[in-house]
Amino acid sequence: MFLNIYNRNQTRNNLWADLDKLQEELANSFFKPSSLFEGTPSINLYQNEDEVVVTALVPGLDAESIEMNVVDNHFLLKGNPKKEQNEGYTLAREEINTSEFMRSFDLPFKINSERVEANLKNGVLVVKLPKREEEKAKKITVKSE
Amino acid sequence: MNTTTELNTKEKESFSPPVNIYEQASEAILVVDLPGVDEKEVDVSFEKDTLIIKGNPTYSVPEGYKIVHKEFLLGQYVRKFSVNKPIDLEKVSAVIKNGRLTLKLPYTIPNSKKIEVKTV
Repeated sequence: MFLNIYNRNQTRNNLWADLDKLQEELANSFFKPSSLFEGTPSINLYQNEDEVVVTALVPGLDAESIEMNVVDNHFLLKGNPKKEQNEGYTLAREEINTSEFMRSFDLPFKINSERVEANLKNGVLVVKLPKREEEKAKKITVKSE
Repeated sequence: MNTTTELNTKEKESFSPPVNIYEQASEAILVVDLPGVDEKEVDVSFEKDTLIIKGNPTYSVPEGYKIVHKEFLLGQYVRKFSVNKPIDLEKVSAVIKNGRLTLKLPYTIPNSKKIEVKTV
């Protein structure tokens, strides 16, 4: 490739801009693998250095109706809502989805399944998915002689 | 014929929660999904013929974490219905469990009394 000398600076700038853009895309691509599709229930994901937190809206479900599976870096959430038993009533309006649901996604690290914590409160599920020890960044101390 | 008609909620930055309505001859049942709301933060009131359901979720965003994927926001829930049958306000019951509110709205039974016919 021949660079036009007059455009060299500009090309350099573009290269840096491209690199910046690439870096930004990489940073934002954390949870953009094709494994995450929007669906039911709605979830939010949070992260820090050591773990990812999943929050899911599951109103009406009790703990027994929720199932979770963790294998390596794969997380799966299943729910089986109980049908409202209102026999003898006519359903005049139906906006609440009571069908079974399943959501799953892959994380960029292996999950420490021994330390997964899940908490259900007022229809909001909060699940902590910690990294396995070997996946955590280790700080290396530099010794001087 | 439906007992309830939805009214527009004009309050800003509020969320309209999904509702199921069940009806029979003597009462209506409203089921409202209010994730994140406990019994202290739910408010059900009647203003003339308008039923107002409000809820404030107490859920808070995990601290010290960066959000990386967002599908929901939580804020005040508001839903209003116009009720076109007389409701027996004394007998209304409201239960919230796992973020799901169940409201029972019994209709007022018109005064009925059997008149005994005597022979003289």
